[in-house]
Amino acid sequence: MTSNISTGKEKNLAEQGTDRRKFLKYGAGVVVVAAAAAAGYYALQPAPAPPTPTTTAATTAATTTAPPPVTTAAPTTINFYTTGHMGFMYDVGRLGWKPVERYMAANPNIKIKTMVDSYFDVYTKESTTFAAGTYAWDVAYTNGILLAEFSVGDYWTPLDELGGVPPEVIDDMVPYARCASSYKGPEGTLYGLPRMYEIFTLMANADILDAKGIKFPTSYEEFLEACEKVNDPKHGVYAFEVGLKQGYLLSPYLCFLHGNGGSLWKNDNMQTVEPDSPESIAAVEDMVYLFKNFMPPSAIEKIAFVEASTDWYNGQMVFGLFYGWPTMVVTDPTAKIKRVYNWLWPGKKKIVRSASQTASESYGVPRTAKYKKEAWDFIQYLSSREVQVQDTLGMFWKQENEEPIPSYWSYMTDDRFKAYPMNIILRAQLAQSKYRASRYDQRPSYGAYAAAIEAEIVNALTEKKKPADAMKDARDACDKILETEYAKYGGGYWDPWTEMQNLGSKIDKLIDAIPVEDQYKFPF
Amino acid sequence: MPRLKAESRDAAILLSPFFVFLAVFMIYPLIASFYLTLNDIALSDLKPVFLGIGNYVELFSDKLFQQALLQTLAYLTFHTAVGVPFGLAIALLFNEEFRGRGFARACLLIPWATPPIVAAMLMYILLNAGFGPVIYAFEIAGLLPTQYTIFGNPDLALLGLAIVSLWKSSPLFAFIFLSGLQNLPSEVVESARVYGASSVGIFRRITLPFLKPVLAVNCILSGILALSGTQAFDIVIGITGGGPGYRTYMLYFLAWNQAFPWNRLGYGSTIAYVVTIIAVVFALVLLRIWYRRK
Repeated sequence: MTSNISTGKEKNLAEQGTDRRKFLKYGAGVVVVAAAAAAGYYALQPAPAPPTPTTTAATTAATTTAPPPVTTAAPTTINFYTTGHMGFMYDVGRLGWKPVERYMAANPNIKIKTMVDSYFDVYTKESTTFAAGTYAWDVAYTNGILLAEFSVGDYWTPLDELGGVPPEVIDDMVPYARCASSYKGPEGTLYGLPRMYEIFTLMANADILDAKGIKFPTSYEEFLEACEKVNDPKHGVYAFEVGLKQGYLLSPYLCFLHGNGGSLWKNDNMQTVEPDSPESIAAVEDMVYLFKNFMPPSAIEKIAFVEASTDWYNGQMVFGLFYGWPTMVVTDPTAKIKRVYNWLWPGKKKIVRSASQTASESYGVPRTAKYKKEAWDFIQYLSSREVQVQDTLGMFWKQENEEPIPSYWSYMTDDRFKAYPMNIILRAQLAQSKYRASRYDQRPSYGAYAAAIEAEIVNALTEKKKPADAMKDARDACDKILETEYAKYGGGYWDPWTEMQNLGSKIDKLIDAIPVEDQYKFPF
Repeated sequence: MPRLKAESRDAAILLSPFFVFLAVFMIYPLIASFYLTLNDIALSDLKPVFLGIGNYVELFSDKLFQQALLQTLAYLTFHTAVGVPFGLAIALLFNEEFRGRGFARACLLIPWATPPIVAAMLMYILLNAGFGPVIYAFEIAGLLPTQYTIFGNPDLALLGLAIVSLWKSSPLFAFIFLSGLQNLPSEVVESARVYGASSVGIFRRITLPFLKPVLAVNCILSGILALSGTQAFDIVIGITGGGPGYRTYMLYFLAWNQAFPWNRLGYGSTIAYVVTIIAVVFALVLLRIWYRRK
């Protein structure tokens, strides 16, 4: 029984029942009115324009230049999903050049609603959104992993359906970038236009090397000798550093694997992943040796160069292995490193000079996009020379940033790249591209392979297992993954390395077109 | 009778939003995920292949699952065996009158109120061997060698995570205990004192028996948090990412990995179901022990 405290009157059960009915009656009335208002509001909203079928060939990405293309679309809001490590988008770069705002200014009818997530969240967000089959974005970020997994389920719109990409533009794409935007085979369908490309190179603190009279190493043996000479842990200076924490370890491992003349895939029908090959075991042994002798113990807790780069900034590491942008540290007057050498990661015994897994990111149009024509115009703009060159020029020293080099050959020799340190980054990236690299991430089970291999590398690094045993266990795990993957998706994954080998002279010409002072020139 | 019918109808109407919520967000996912456990299905194409109990059978031969299971049970045991008594100790301390008690109690809430992933990142930064100020302070004091690693050490990483988890959960346990302590009849305690009972005796004979229901609640809560709550996922992904090696893989983290990054939604759901079963068994065993004693 409820008592009415303010009046002192107690209500009987019948009165309470009446109250409840009144409450329900009025409550229901409020709900009905609110629902009607909401329905009315949405009914009055303009219906989204149906996707416009594109029948003509689109303007080529390679020839699009500033100012941004003006489209004649009806007023439209495009949902744009991207990652947070692209500083150039949001005015955190030195140049403050914001391509999205610029595009909107040139196209008053187009509003871009940008949604940003951490790189590490994109996978889960895209997989669940695509699987749900609902509309969320008109343009979405993609890379090799996302492309491979979600083109299998037909979640991306093939670019051919949007107007297609002319052959000369395809030829202009760095094959590694093209591979990351397509699925299976050099002739595979393109699902995205690349926005960038990059590859691991070796960087060195030039101040320290020059002070000790050490030449930049051009072979793995010279590299080890140099490490012996510069390593000084008592004074907090370590010869070499790369983040060894699981999560981004496969790329540095691949440098060592390729440097030992190996490959992650066997050249067989199933493209068997073989982390227990002699070259792979040798690669892990090299990593263990470097970790024990020339790297800080904390490297095991750091993800890639991003976290290791504090030591780089403080002048406490001599050699670093990562994409090119940490070279930009010299542009920060507060950094304790004033000059950087940037060139090739050397392979063993001068047999090969090896590279990492290359990175390339793209923008694609999800199947569920509402405004495909407008989305297609926008991704061509994002892949245009002006945006990519500005993106590279926006490269600056900031750990969480990632400003790479362009993904089209013809953009690489832009005059704006011809000053230090941009020129040495571009030259090193181009030179490294001539040597063994990979895009293993185009397999639908890449995430599982990477986790299995990385965990066992760490087991070897922490001496829980011998490298051979660890990599044997990695192989067992990979065999299990391969069995399922092959049964579901078959083989036929493209390794662009074969195509890259025919591009040596083209790359040499591009390198020659980028001037550099003699002190930053090193032999191939 | 008509009045009762009207009341039942009212009750049904008023409760219906809850039942709709329960059906949509609990019962349907429970059934749907059970269906997933019977299939091999990937998010990348969503084409189910019926396996029957194949996913459950695979668990028996999956070494990683077995390792994660053992680590989860170790984590759960530590979390409960150390965390709950620790929470009780804090509650006893904060139940005493002292100056600034209100402020101290408010501060006690901070770890619990901090979002788990933020807490994980905070600890990752504070305790990082390379740039963590706490580790650095210990180094300067000569208590640890240079760049001492906790989360990169296979023998310490799980313990490190469990301690971080305790830091986060103990205040919750403490507040639950504190609410129990404040209902403790002071006359009984006073009488015991008058009859010469020691503090330890009062605690053992009066306080602890009185707190038993709260203790059971805290133990169940601890188990659920350690098995499938934020402590089992956010702290792992935020600090170690499952490493070094597989040393901090826990069932919930493994379930997520299988379902999403490794693209095996069916198998991931199966592991999640196993976690649920363990949580239910853990709670039932604790309740049974409690009611039998009672």
